[in-house]
Amino acid sequence: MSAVCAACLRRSHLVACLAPRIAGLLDRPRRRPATLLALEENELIARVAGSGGAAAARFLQTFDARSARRRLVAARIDAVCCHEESYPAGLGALDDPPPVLYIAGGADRLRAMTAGPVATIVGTRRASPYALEVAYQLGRDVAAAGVTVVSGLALGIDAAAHRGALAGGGKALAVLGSGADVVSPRSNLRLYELVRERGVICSELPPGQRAFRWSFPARNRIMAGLGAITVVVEAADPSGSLITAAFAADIGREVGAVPGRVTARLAAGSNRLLRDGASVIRDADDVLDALFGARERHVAPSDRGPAKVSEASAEPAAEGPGRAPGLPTRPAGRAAEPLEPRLRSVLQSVEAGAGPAEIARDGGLSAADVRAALGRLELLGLVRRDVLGMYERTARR
Amino acid sequence: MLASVATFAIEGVDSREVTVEVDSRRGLPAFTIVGLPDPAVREARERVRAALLNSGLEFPLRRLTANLAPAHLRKAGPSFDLALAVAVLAGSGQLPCSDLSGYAVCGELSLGGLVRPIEGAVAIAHGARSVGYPRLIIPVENAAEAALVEGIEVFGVPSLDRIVALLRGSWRPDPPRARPVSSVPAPEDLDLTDVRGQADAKRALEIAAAGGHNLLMIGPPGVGKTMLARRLPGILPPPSVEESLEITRIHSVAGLSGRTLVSQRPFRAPHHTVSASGLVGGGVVPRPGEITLAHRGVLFLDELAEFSRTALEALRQPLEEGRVEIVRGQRSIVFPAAAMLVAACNNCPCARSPDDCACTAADRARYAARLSHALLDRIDLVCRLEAGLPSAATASGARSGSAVARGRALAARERQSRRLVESGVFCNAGMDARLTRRYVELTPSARSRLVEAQEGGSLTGRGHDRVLRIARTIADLAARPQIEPSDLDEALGFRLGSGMRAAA
Repeated sequence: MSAVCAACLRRSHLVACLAPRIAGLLDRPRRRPATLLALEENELIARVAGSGGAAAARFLQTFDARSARRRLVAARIDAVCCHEESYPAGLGALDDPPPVLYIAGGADRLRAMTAGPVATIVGTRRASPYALEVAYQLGRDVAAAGVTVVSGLALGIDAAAHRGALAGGGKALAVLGSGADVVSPRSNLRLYELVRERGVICSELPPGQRAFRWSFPARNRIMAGLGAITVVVEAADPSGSLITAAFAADIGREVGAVPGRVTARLAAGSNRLLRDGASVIRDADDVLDALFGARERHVAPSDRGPAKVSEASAEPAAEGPGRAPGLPTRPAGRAAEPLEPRLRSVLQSVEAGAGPAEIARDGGLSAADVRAALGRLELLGLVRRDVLGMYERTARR
Repeated sequence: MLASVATFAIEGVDSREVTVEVDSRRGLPAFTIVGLPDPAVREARERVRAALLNSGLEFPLRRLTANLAPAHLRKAGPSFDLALAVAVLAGSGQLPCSDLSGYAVCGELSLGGLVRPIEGAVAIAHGARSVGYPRLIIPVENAAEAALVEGIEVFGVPSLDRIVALLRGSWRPDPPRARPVSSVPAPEDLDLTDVRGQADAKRALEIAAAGGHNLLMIGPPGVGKTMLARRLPGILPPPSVEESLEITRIHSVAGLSGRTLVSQRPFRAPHHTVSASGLVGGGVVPRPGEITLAHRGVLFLDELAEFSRTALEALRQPLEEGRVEIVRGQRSIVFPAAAMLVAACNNCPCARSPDDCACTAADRARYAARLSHALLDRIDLVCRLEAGLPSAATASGARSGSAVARGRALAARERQSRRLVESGVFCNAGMDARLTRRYVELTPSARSRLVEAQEGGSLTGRGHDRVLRIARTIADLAARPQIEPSDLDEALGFRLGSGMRAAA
């Protein structure tokens, strides 16, 4: 990590120093900061600093790379600059790649995780239960196939994707809008610790830096740059996830979206992406198809190489053998077991939106039989009740 | 000259002995009452004086000091009037002191010397009997309810001069007639057949009635949640004599009783603006709350989401332990509170029909989060009602009324009480974790189904016991000695939805 060059360090600290003023300049929400962050240092100061220009210039002159490095060591944060070999290659396609990536969880692990295939999964914070489940399963099954899952550690879809990735093999990579050691929202603390322990958390802002309004869209460009594909699970319109998708499209990456109900405002953004030509993502296989071409359902052994190394170093024998075959096959194993005819017909009624009373009438069953069938289906994970007790079909097949 | 008379003060739903002492000596005529009297007790001086004079008796022109012992206990209400009057009479030599032994005296006086009825006569009779008084003098209106307590002779008196006659041995009232327990359980005009369709909810109601489980009904307005809840007492087994006495005693303290034995299970439906102390009891002189008034019956909370969170949280202890403990100063008072909780709420905050509803998923999640998690945690059965299907009532054919459902519930209860006879609980809902392990048997296939649920992560420790209790009741309804997989499936289906557990 000592290889981080002083110029890159200085540049990233300058951005951090100017951060509050950048927020002021980008009054209109969701304007992309791309052009701004690509400016030369002096130009950036001139554009952003205003009356504080002299102070910023002084900051530049007095910047001490050695003390900055000491602070990194103290905060247990690694750093990789864009001139290093281990800097993620995917970011090179950006107009304004972050000069330094600050990493919690180890630079080696980041290198191993970004050397293989990477998929970015993003979506709204206020997600529907359906979308949360899809995000979880996508994260889990994609990670189980050996693909690194990138997301933003926000509430909702991001958290679900991270949780899924951890459940499916620990290849979770979070990109933050604040410093890599700052947990926000606090309710994600537990998840943050899990990802830091078993995956990687990175940011372009130095440790301790709080998030700004502009730093989230700025973070989105990093997520788009890391991923070979960006999947939007559920997003309203407008939405930060659409910014991520737009970045991905700009640099020629694949964009996919999970179909939502056309009447749901929450899914308006992701549905618009589909209309505009994004790939339809129904499950992990669709992601893998998009990454490796149709029918190539798993990561080729050569692609898997570095990932294996990372697993071995990250979690020595913790859940090494048995995990990889275990997790992805479990849902498939359940589906293989055929349902009784009665359960199947009740399941079909739930899919059609019927409540217990309708199911009983249409199927000629007693109330007790219907309730028993629903209890069984819920146990099998095929149906679920929403917050107010209404039955709905889950994503499991 | 000193005279003392025994009386009883209501404390919670029990009564406590209070001794009224009157000291009468020469001096400036005065009448003082000591022993922490409240204003109503202090005003007894005027009532006693006027009542004595208007009854043709003499109010002594002496210095009278009355003490209500134990002196540290706060005395409230007018029920000490009669005892004070009798003590004054004895202290002034108008009644012989020796005749008072063995009597407890309770009642309120009017200025004209008539005796007015009081509250809590059953509790007073209970207390008097347990302390060891063989005879109780009580207002004639309260005599019938006091006579429900066996082992004590109850004298119902209409006026002060009758008491004097009674104590002098020149008059005896007719013995009060304790009314026999009525065997008709519920008003017959509320029947399950009044609610069309909703077979699923009726099934939930029957399981709740059979096992004494708590129930939450969720559904759009007008589908019959309230109607169903009101029909629950009609399918509950009638209270036993013991239970009837408990109910009567509480209702007598609260002033609700018709001065006879309550032979129906109470149904209490407090409005959602009720305060925490209104729900569980409280006040400076603690009074029973709605859950105590619903003891051995049903507490129905309509519009559960509108109740204040503090009120709902206060229900935790009573739902868990079947009693409420209220601490005031150094004393704590225990109210019995073994009621079934039946709650209802809408399926979305706008409370419109599903076709007009514009609530988003987030709105509904927020609404669900208003329900107290601690309370939901204590609800065994959750069922969702949908707007009525016109043909459902006719299609199902078998329109099983309350009588049929009650018959099944009663049979299931009998099976439970036979099984639980040594355990001290009445019904499946009362079983704790230890009793559940001991009394609930599963067939091997049901056991493997249970293991599957636990391994799938959808069943936690507490949920596990709850599901077993419900499954046990379902099996009792079907007269199965062991729990079959289908019983377990149905019990799982009635649990709180997974989405709800997460949101609350």
